[in-house]
Amino acid sequence: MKPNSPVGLSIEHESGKLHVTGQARYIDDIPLPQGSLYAAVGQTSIARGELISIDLTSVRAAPGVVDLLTFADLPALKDVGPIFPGDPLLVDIQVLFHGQALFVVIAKTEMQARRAALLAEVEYREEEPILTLAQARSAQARVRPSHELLRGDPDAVLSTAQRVITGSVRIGGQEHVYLEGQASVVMPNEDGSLLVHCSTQHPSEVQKLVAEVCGLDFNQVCVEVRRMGGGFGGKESQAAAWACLAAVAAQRCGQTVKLRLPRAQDMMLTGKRHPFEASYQVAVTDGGKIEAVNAVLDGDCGCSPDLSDAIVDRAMFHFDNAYDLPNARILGERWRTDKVSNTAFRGFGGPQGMLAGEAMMQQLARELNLDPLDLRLRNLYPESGSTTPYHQQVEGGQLQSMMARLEQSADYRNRRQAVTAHNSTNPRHLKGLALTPVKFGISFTGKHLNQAGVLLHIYTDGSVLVSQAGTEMGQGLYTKVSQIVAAVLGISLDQVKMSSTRTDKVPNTSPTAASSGADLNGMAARNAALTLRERLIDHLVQRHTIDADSVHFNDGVVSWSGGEQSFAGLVQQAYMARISLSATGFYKTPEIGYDRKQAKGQPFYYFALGVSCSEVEVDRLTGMTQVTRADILHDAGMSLNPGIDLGQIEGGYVQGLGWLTTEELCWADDGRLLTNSPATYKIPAVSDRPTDLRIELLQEPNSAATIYSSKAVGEPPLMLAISAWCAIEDAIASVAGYQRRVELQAPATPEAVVTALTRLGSGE
Amino acid sequence: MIRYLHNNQIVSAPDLPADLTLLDYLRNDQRLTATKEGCASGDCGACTVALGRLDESGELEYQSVNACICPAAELHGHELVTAADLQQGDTLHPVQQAFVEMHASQCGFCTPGFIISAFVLMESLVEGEIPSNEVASQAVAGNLCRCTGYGTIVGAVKQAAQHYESPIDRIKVAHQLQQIAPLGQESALLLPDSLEELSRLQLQGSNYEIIAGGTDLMLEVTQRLESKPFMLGLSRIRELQQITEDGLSGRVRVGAGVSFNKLLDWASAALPELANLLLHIGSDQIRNRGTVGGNFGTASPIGDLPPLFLALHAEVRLWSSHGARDLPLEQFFTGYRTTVLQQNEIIHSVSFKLPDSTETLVVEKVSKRREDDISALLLAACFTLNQGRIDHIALGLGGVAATPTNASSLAAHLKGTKVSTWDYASMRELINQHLQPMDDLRASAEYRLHCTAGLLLDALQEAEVTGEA
Repeated sequence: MKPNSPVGLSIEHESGKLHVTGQARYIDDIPLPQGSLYAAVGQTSIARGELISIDLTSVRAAPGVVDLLTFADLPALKDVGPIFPGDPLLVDIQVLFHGQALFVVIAKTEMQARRAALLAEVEYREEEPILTLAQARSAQARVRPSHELLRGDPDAVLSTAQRVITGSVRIGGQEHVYLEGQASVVMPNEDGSLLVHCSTQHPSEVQKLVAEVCGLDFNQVCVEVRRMGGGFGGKESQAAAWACLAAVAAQRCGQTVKLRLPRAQDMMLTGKRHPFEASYQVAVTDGGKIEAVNAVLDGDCGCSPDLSDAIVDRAMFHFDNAYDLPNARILGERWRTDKVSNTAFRGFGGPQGMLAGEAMMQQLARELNLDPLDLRLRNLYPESGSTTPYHQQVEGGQLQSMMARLEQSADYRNRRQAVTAHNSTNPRHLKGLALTPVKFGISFTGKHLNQAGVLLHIYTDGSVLVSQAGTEMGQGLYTKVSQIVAAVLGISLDQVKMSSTRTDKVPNTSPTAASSGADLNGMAARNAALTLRERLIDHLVQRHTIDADSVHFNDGVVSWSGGEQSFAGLVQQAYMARISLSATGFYKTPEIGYDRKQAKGQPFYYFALGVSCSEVEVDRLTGMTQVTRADILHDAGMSLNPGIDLGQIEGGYVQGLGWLTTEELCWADDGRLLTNSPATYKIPAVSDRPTDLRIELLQEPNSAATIYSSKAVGEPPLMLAISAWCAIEDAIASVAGYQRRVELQAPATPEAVVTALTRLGSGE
Repeated sequence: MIRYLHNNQIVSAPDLPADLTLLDYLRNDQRLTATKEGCASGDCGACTVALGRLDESGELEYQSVNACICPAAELHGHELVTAADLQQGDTLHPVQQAFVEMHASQCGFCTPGFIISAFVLMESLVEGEIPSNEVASQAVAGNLCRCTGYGTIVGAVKQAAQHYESPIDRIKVAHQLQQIAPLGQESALLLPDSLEELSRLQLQGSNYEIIAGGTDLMLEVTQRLESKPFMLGLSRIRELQQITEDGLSGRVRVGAGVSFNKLLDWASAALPELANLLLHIGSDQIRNRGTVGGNFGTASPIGDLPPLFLALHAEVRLWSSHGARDLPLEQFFTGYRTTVLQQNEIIHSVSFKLPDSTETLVVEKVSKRREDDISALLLAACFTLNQGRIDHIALGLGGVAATPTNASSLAAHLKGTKVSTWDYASMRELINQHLQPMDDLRASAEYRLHCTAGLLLDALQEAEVTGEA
């Protein structure tokens, strides 16, 4: 690294000052032209059945109403399914879930539109909805065919094994609760083209779908995203529908239209993390070495495919987590239920697959009467020579040393003794402890998505403008990319401005997802900056006849053997010499490729690793839990920005903790979502954070060639919270001497904890 | 015409609809978008603003409020402070500076609300005081952040307190606030300042809806999209703001207009069990607006305060221009969200006797999340043990029936029995006989029965052990 490079420093968030003063603009804050209109969504009141009639007379007559949209009014494409069809913008005949979008009202104010949307008179022919995985299995209702991974010969080993253990676990979904709900503003231009401001992780897909829905060419639609108030996967495919409906409304009315979902509608109308049920048969030696596994992962996809194929695949790819399963069959099912279509959420199925694997480890430890940590250590991937169930090579050395390091630094063995001793006194508040690893595959499993582009301009005063493919949702991508550009050009961060993400600047982009933002866009930005640096060096070499290798860019100064000049001065000269000061940069991830037909290959460029140790207290009367201490050692490679990465790690852990403890989605028997507000759906508040939280970055270079040897850090930390769920299991297990299986579901709500305690015969 | 202070200027806002929220007023009417809408139901704190007001002694105090469920007209006579108002020129407020330095914002959407909650804490600290982790956390317990995991936020709050110098000119602000006359009668939301004034207004028209803090009622506007063209607010009625203790009888009377936070201030010394319960009701923002009377009047089956007051044999005083009447609290609730309140009658106050030294008071709240969550079960028990025998016991339960209940037949069964004769199984059987809770999204009936039995037994057994020791 060059001196004074901002890479690797805890540079503040590029929008920090705007955040704290409230000046950072989100979609709902954009000043609108006079005459702008507001759209609101009318919803179904049944989960499954057919629409018989819809009377919108009262809606149309309501104060302020300007226009209405029903399925028949959609001008071109009517289904916005991102990969496979199945997501109609509005109900045609078939109702797919309770609260589905049925029509759109356009009115002069937001309140007028929302009030009018309640006035429709609708008749349905109602059918019994499929709401649970059990119902979907018995109806054999799938959104996509099943897929299977196979390594070795698990059937043969299982049929002859001395000890086969079977088990299962139910894993709940999760609502994103991005603090900024879904929102779009669509502004028609003079020629009928559209400018779309949208809170989305996937501007290019919104562009494509808006164009197709409105019957326009892609070049007629520009999507702009400056920042999102949180995404977490919930704005990867789920932002598009509202942009499309606002676009149709804007097209019809010839006015700017805003469509912003109020919180309750947002929670009903947009997909969530997939609930799963997992079951497994394991052949294991008395010493705890797993010999073979046969696992089934049943994903609840909701009413359509959306991204579920890739999500269930990623669950399957992470069932092994950090463990060598020499013989393994992992079957992934994509079940269809009459609920809102489940979608991407930080980890993209990985957390569910990993939790299933770790629940299996807890159970094996109980039935073999082993410390779960010892069982884990016995099964970790070896330093070399092993592969995953999808036949990607794995080297386990780094993970092994991280496990050993955290075992020491968290004082696991002594605390294990203390916890066991405490629980032996039969206290009201039980304690539990667990230390678990995370190995998370980095890359989109859809190979074509692993690309990014950047457009970089240098202006004649030496200031730099960066437009890139990735979107900013709080994860600090813009900050990291600006650090990289400043480092390559040897200028200060003040000279680098990040442009909003726009489809007219960088086309055909991938979603900012799969933790890939900094890996892909950082590399593309570096490539763009290198291109311009080369041009500037060429200019210098020609002018001064010097050796190109002697040119250095540092601290706003360009120096070479025998001279130096300010960066701005050089830029000015290059301009006068008619050198282009604008360049694109491109990057595609090398080496990867997964053959889904063979279920073999290298879907991931590398793995991001982490280890966490959580200690919990469990009130055995009420089942209420508190994480009293958590120790984390996380691998972000050589961190591009430790301040930002530590924030991702802590935020990920706490978000995962919510998924596994307090966040419970409840549906009524008619398919209505009951937990449709933060009053009833409880994400972690400040006091749910571990009382004592210690986070350390590994700070070792990525062995794969990545941007400044860093590693992706968006999703992996979420799974560090699995240690907290395992610690709750551990506390419960204590009442049966740690020797009997605990039937604990996720989330481990107070009631779920009590249920598990009661099953162990010690519910009081 | 309402008038309030904002950025050192008196602002006049004519003709605000009674049900216009402060948040919509700011964002839509004033185009001040620094304050964000996260949920519009008072649950996330993204819309938190600070209201500066003069307390009884004329001192300026700042309170955090959820703008999304606060009627805009409640601004009248107060100073408004949003996250956009704190920086001085290019210099960030210490709270803002600390948030930037500590990476305490990620997506930034919740941040303006956190900034205000932290600002309110800073303004309440005595000079040189550095808040503990607990105090710093408590200050932001009503603000949800989905990105950070809160550690950097708590750190930033503590850092901001180092060498905190307030940019507020308190004397000037207080002086400016004193210039604002009480709200006249031309407003769609009337805010009488005395019972006499209330009587007069009630005589003039009866189509007003009564609103106290509005932390429940305003959800009918923001969530059910109902319209409330005329409202009569009780927040400024002096007679309802009192907490009085009668030293001789040991009885306490709490005015219906007393906010949760004001009650908390009192209870911290006088009744710690109540203080602890209050800390687990809503958030600071809710506790600043929500009132004792409103909590009774809304008659939720969970009831935050009623179970405790039932266990203390509280009496509620109802008031109308025709006179006042007192009745035992258990007779106040008539069914699911219904009460004995007549047209034009309001809750005046609640009175109760503080537990004496022989009595044990136990309050347990069971919820999915510890802070700012509605209970699955609220259990209050006040009892006296005499050599292991239950001499006297009074209960209050929320979440087990259509109304908060004193479960009098259950209490009668327990009275006179020895604690040692009960175990979980027998207690559970007794509870099953006397309570019929519901299944809902917060908990199953089974779980509620289980917790009631376990917690009640534990309370009795603990008291017995403590008594022996």
